[in-house]
Amino acid sequence: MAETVIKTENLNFQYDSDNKTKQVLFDISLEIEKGSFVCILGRNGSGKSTLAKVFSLVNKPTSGTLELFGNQFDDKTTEDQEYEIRKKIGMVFQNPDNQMVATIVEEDVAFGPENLGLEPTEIRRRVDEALDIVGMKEFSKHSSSQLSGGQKQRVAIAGIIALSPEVIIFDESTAMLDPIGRREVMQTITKLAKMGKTIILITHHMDEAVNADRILILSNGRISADGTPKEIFSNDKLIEETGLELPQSKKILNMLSEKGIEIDTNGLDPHNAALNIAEALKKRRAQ
Amino acid sequence: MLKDITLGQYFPIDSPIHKIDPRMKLITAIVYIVSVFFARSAVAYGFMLLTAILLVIVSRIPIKTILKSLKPLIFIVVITGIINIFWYQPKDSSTLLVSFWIINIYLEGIISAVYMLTRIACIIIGTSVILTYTTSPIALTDGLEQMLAPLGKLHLPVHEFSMMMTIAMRFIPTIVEETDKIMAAQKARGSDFSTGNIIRRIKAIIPILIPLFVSSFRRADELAIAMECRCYRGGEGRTKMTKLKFKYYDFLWLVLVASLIAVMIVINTYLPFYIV
Repeated sequence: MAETVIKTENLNFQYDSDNKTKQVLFDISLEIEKGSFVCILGRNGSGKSTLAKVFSLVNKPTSGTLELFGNQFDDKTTEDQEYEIRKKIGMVFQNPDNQMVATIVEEDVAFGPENLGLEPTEIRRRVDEALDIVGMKEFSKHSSSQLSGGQKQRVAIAGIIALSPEVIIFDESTAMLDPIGRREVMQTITKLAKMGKTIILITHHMDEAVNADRILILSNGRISADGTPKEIFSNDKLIEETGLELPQSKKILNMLSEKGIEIDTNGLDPHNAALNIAEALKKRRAQ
Repeated sequence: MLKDITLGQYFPIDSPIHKIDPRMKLITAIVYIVSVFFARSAVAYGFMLLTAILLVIVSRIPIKTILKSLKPLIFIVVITGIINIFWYQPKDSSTLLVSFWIINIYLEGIISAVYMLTRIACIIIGTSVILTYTTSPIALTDGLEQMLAPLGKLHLPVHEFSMMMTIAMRFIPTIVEETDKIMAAQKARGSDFSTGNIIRRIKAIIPILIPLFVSSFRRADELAIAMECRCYRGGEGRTKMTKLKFKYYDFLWLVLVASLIAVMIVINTYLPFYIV
């Protein structure tokens, strides 16, 4: 069995502001294995971003246990311990503009490794490598204001890759992008997953979830489902209850099936859906 | 209008000026400004203008951009020009050109106004070519940080200061873009920024400033979290991707710029035309 990188048990979290408290996460128990590609789905306000911030120690759990790389973390965690974890767990946020520190692309990517206190030659190597992975090498000397949203977000991802973390959390990193930018970023994420990084993708776009190994659905601060994309998306009732939407391809297949066409509705991405439709057409002709 | 702001607009091209160490650029920018103030005769001013043009050519920055950067200054230039012409304190040797009512315009007044314009133009072109256009903001703040490093021993927050500068420069285009967006949104709701008296216009700016401030605070908050997640914990133990090192080329450049002062003195002494 693969090593567990993130483990929580009966984890609760609440925001304290003035004298009001608002509990956002209830009784979360989960384990995430090294090298897996996990997608956390949920509606707005379901607590998915809060959970991501707990994983990266921006938010500390109110009660319950949080175990990262075999070490327990709570509100007594020191800054040095946090720093050690942040070397291993990187986080990419929603707005690319608000996570870039420097004006020039390569200087921004270098920000992380510079914080680690690495040798200049090693920083240079990591920056070049990270920009190569996200396909932004030719833009290394550009200023960030000349880039598109998708390109900026890829630079932000490079900034995290340069820290060479084992786990990368994407907190709705595609939410503010146009369709082209979203595709670019998703391609980068899938590439990183194939490279063996542990990916935690937080999103409300169903189409992005179909490539994951595992899907967790969060609703009202509780885990309401946990399974492979196939299992999750074949449970239409569950999807409806949590206020989510099926991926487009799956929706089309379901609609065809409802019209009385004999078709395999297990096609989550456009490619598989197309194959299923072709299969159904063939069957019809044969009849 | 906002797009004309030139601060922090770096041109990533290759030129002899781009190669100079940022610390040396900071020093020479100051030396250049000093040398402009040494000019007294017409020849000296002409020579300074020539060096400014030479700098632009060597740096390969498009002339159009330079002229654009001078545009917002027209107002200041006109005001100082007028002040210089009308408030000139005449000496015995001054030539009176026009005189009506209480206003006297002297030839020397006009000359001193022209000198003032040349001086302002030289300073702006010189510093923007030596510094802002040819130095990446990070290199500039790195240079500043290293030059001020001795002050760190007095427990002054040198690293924090340079980090603030870096972030401020990084966010100039972002905030400008945002301001344009908010202005468009307020215009769509019927706001009017361009008519009415001054008080009305100032009042019209408030609905732009408030959303701008609110969103800037949110940005600052998000940026702080993102920086922490990228292992930032202040200047201690931090290294740099590019280490600054003086080359003999840098000193050559310093000598070149510093010799301008000498040239100015020589010209003032041997070609003292129209000194006012």
